[in-house]
Amino acid sequence: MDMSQQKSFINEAIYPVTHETVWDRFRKNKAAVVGLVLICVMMMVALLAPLLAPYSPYLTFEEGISLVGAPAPPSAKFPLGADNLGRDVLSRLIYASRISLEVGLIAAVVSVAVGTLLGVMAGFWGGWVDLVIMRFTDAMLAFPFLLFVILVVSVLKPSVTIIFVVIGLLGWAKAARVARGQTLSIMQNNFIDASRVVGASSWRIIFHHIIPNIMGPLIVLTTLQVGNYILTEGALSYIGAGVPQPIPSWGSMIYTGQQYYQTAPWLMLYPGLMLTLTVIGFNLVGDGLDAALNPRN
Amino acid sequence: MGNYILRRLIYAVVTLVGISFISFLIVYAVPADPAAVIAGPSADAIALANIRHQWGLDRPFIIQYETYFLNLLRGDWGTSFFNQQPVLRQLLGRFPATAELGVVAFLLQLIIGIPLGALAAIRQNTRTDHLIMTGVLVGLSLPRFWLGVILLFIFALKLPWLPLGGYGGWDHVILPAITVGVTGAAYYTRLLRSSMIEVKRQDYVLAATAKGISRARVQIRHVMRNSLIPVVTWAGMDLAAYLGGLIIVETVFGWPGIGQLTFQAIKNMDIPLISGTVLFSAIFVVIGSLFVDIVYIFLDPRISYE
Amino acid sequence: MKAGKKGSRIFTVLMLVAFLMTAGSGVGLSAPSLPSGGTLNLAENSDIKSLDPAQAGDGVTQRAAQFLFSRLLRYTGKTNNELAAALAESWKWSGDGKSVTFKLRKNLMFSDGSPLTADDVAFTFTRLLDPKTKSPYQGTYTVIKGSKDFMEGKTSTVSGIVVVDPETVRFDLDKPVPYFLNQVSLPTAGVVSRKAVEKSGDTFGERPAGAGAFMLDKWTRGQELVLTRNKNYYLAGLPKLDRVVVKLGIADNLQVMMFQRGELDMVGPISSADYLKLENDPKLKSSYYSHVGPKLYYIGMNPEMPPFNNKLVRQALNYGVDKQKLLRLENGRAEVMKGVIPPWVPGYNDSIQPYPYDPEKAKELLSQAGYPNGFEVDMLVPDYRDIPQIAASVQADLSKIGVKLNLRQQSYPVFRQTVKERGKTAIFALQWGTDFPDAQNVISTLLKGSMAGQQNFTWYNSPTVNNLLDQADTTIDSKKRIELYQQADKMIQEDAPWIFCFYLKADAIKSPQLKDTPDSFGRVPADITEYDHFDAVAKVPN
Repeated sequence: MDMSQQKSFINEAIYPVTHETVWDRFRKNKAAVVGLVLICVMMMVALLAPLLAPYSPYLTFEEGISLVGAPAPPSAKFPLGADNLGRDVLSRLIYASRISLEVGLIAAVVSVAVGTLLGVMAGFWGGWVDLVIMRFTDAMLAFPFLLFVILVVSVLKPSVTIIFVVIGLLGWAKAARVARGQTLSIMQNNFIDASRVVGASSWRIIFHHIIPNIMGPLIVLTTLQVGNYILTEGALSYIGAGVPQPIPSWGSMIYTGQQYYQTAPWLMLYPGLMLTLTVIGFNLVGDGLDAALNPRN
Repeated sequence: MGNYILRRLIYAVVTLVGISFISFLIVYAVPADPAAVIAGPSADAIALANIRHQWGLDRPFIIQYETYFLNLLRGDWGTSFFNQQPVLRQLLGRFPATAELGVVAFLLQLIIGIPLGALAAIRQNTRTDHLIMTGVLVGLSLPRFWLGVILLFIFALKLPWLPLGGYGGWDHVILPAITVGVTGAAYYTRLLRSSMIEVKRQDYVLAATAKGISRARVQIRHVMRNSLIPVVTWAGMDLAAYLGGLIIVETVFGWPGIGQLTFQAIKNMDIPLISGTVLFSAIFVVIGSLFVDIVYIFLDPRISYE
Repeated sequence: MKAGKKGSRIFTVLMLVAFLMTAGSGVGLSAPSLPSGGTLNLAENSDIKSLDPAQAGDGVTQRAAQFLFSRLLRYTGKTNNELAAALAESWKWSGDGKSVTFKLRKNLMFSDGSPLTADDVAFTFTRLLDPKTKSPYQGTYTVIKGSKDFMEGKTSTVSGIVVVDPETVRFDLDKPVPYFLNQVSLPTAGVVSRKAVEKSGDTFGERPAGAGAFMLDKWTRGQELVLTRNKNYYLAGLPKLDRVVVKLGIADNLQVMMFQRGELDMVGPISSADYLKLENDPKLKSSYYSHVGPKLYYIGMNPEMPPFNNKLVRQALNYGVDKQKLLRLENGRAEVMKGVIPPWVPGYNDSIQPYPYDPEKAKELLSQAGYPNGFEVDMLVPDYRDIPQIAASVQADLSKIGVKLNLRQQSYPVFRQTVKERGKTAIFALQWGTDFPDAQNVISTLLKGSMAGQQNFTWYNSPTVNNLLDQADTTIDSKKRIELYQQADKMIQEDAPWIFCFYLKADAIKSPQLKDTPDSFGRVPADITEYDHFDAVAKVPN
């Protein structure tokens, strides 16, 4: 019995049982599909960056800035214009997607993985294990996340790897809460006790029975966290605590670009747009998955 | 019930102590020479010796923590080595600005978010609902710093209606509050909507078998009351987080609050100030969650106090 | 027609007479035709550290100090290079150049009405040397005789600071210091009231008592500094302005926007992004002006750390950077650097040829030095104005010759901390603004071996250059000095401890309501040494 069927138990008493799969429901959700398309496009852009970008994002061009240092406006040579150092904006936008996606995806997976492990342990064993872990989780939630991330990244030498590791390791609290709640829920089931009676070891139960059955909400959480962490990375780069120059990042492009708002507004608008669209994509998919896993008519 | 509150209180205190310990670790365990870190770059040998004595750095680790903790309680949160001002004094000095922004933004979120959430839930699956949820989607996905800068440029520069950031009268707080409020309201809208739908669904089933309209009316009130529970939980923590300072928004708008101070402190590696800010912020969150737990009791007497 | 011509001629004569009468009296004249009153609205992008001038180590704090405190001398003249009487009405050097006596003006007062005497002057400088004060400029005044003993606690006063009588103070120096008058005119040397300092103690930084054109009304940390006219100012009829309001913590680009809205009267210097706005906005453009100095930009390389221990590498990097492009990044408001000594300082060597942009030659030199495939190194960059942009451009240029620079950006205070430690930073980007127009403040301060770790962060230490500079720093004959400095400059160019970038113009946008009086010489008070001139600036109502 999977989670979605358990949850719609009440509904089944009144409405006919539907035999769609999660994917079917997802497919029917137009918004979710749009989101999926957005994500796929962004991933493709990131993966195929060297092929799609007209130039290297690090290359500075003579024609990129005028004699008085004005960034070149959009033209045949620079489809989206050039930045204040004469670099092609389109190329930088494309390559910046790699940073955002890399950080967002890896940090999300790491944070949910760590959080799930801790949350399941807390829910499964209960007692003082639960107490210690949840108190620790609550303490972690009390700390201002962004501040913590900025602080740790600043102390260490900032790089892409450091950033997603730090975000991932500091962001597990949410996932831990969800995982614990789900674990407690599923522990009500008899088959867990049945497995114990049969003599299955605790870890086996955790990995073979509990985790697979709570994947649903966790996948939803992971997807939504990708969106959040992409914004976190953007904020970090914006305030200068993110990936170091000259690596292009949408956040730092916005920061440099805002100074040129009146003379070269494209520098600021495009990276912001890319950030928003990407996050919208992940949010749509996350919501879509949530709806698909928990159908409510 | 009194037992429950007492336990929650004790637990909050324990959490605070735990947080102070983590804060202590940041100052003492991370850097090589904590005295140099506390005293700052321009300290000479005499100053360093003073610091060592004052903070008991030449004593065992646990005594150090004790000294640190007692100093905290006495109000001595260290001195910022960037401008030699006491940390706590700076935090308290900037708190009103942060509180102003935090409260205004918070209220804005509620004013925008809750009615929209209720509306979306009542008109579920209609055009209105879809419109609102699209707004929610955009609100959740917009980078705050981008939105802030755009609002600044449009409403303060292109149309010189509002001031260009900084602190001042009520017109100064509008743009930063909207920046936070718009993105934050989205959470409330979504939360309330899904909460109401959930509650309604359960009640709808019952209502389907109910006789008479008066029962339905009672259920609507019941629906609202129950739907607000997750919202209250979120709101408590939300406001608490704002009171700790909004780093990004304060920096974009030059708002002289704790967030801006924090950001400068981090840029300057001003460890005493950073750890003070972290502690300050965390205190609010703990108080916030305590408050929420207590309010919970009155909102939902069905909660079991395990 | 005839009457009109005669009338206009009389008018011209009258104007000439008036002009002749006013010319030559220098500082101290007020222009009666310009109104008094008005509030000057300025802004700074960070907070003031303290209102105690002894703590004025950074630009923001120095500018505040200039409003509140006067010094013995001040700058004047078309190029702001000449020293003129301020609190001291005259001065006299001894024959050997090791002693100078200042005679103060009569009846000087602090803003609170208490008298300003030679004792306060002596107290001011003693305090700067006092280790307890922790003044960032303490080192500057150690040329005064007896300062070492005082700093070590062996004496309670500095023997070289002598109060001759209530209106006369004499400074005895260890050796001839031709630029001592400049040092005495630094913003940090604002004369403080002994009584006030002793009364306020540690809180003097919040309750300043000085003899500047303005006095403190209110300082809300991080938000605003409000000053009002000092009625006891030593120049009659000045200041013209009633109040000065400085908003604190406003980002540079926001400042320009506020200027556009009329909320600020003057903003400077202008970032390259904001400068571009001028081109499209005629109103902004008409309020813009600039003049030469005082900043120079360079990339410092540490000859103690490989690969910069090889002169060929340092020269190669000079060939590898496109300096014309850097000028473009500064919107053309700069000039390629020739020698270390800039054009506005005596000792400027016009004959020095800058390294041309020649990537091929650069690669050749690198090969010769043993780095045919280039190398990788961390470059320290302070997060200060446009330095990150310059560093990014240099990074891009050098990557084309195989040199990979990893930019490590730090906030300015942290940067200064890091760069002070020996052997930690191999290469860094920095700018230097001359504190006063003397070569000692540039070439000796930045590149003399004995200044290593203080302002010489490259740890460049060339015995021949040190020798030349030591001589030049202590020679009274100005002609000989210039010769020595120019020689040293030429040697440094060849030795290339720096990537010599450019000299940057100072600029600002100024509201048309601000009117310069003859005393302010039409200078844009855009840099630190010029804020004094605000005492003679008037604001006309709209």
